[in-house]
Amino acid sequence: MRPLIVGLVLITGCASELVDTSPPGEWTASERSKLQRLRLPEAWPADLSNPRGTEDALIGLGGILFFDPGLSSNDQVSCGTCHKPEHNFSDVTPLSRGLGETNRHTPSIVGSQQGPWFYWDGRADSLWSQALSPMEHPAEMAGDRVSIVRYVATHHAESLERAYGEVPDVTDLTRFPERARPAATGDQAWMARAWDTMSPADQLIINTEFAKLGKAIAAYESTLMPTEAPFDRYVDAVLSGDSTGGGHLTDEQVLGLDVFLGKGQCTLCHNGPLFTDRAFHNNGVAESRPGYDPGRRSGAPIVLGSPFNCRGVFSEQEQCDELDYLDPSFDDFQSAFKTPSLRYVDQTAPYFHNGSHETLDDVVAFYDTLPGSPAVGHRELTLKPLGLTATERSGVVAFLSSLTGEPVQP
Amino acid sequence: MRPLLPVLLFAACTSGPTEPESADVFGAERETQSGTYLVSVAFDPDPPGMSDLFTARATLKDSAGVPIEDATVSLNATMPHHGHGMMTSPRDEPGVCDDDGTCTHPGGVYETSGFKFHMGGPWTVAVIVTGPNGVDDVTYIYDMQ
Ligand SMILES: [Cu+2]
Repeated sequence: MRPLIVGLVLITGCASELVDTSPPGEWTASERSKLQRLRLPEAWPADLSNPRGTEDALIGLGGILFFDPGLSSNDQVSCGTCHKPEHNFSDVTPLSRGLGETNRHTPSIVGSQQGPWFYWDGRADSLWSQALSPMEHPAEMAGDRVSIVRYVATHHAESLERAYGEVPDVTDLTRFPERARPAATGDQAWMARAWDTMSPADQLIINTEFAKLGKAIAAYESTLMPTEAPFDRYVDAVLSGDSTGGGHLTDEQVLGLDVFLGKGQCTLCHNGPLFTDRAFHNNGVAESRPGYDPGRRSGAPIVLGSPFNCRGVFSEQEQCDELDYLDPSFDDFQSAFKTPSLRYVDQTAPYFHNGSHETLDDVVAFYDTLPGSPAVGHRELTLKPLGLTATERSGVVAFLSSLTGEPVQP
Repeated sequence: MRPLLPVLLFAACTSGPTEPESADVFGAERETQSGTYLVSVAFDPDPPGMSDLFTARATLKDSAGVPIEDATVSLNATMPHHGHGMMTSPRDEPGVCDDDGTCTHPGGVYETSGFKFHMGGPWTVAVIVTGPNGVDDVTYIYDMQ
């Protein structure tokens, strides 16, 4: 594909002049190639960070761990508490609630193995390392890696042995304190002090076992992939020459798709089979709490410093290009958040990193009018008020519901 | 198909910084701004995937068309209309180096790794050449889909 220069600059430089002359449902060559890129692929790329992630034994262990509240300090919170299967593995509350309340909304994890960055702020660079931190986050599961490793070795010994061939002996409380983890602060600082009493060799044992648990959970999460939706069947029909699209979308949805690809310019960010560019943008959505959320500005240095990142001793990945080339000082990281997937988006209200918008109508209205401005940084400059009609707005919302396939089963 | 209308719109609405003067196919061989060198640009892979890392490759010749193998060539990309560059720190590859650290670029091919286009739209790809005939540069526009 060798694009011409002429057509390019006006796309963003003067979007208001961009006229889509083809009526909804009659797709130009450029629109057809956009449709092709949005369709689900035949197969997904493998998760290179987790070479054994497709093994049944790891998937089995990971599924058990994902739904086991015994990993949390009060025995009541599991990964599945916030990543609710019946809600496409996201949550209904604006902000995540574990033992406390976090400052962000629980994103869906369906399709999340496609990385390369995890969390709204990308502070993890693998699905397995992402899976570790909620277990210790004071507002989420509030556990600690020593007692978690011990708990799994005790309660899930059989599954653990099937996955990894052995069960570590961490029963000696003089070597492995009751509860301990590094970098605990505030009223949990005592756990960090306990961690510091351990020998480096014993710390390495715990970290190694802890990483294995993350890799098992990631293996399980990698099975949670989107299934074919009406949109995909529509694209197949259109690309095979059926101008009716096989009747897989309603007229209203086709109108919405036309806006999505054209006037709305949604694919500038919501691109690819998961409808995300997997990058970070500041869309200028208002903070829902006092202060501001730095987003990727704080996420980038965290992932660079994480002992569980791609360069760490627990990583099985040879190339760490994403980490190597990451520029943490990129100006527009300020209050930028990862573009979420739109697959199953009608199942995952509320929306945005802070869950501040209750419905898809609210979200489309937001992008149509762009109210307010971000507390810090600046709104992505490609965003301009769209001037949609009421019919176009509701068309986009209707179209978005065509991205929902069969429910993803736990 | 070569639409004519966009050319007119282009003239009517562009106020941004340095845009290429001719409507060339992306990356095709062109003179640098002051006519000092001939440069072409290619991507590997082509086209790059959205938010995937890729390598940009410039081929440098003198105005007579002879490859220049011992220049310094830097490639970068920005979205001037959005006021941002790439989220990565690309690396200009040294080429083929001998034991005393002298590097050459056989065939006049210079590579920069770590490119990443994190959003759709027009990216301005700049090539800055520091060579035997001085410093000169050329820009291209690539439409990321
Ligand atoms: Cu941009």
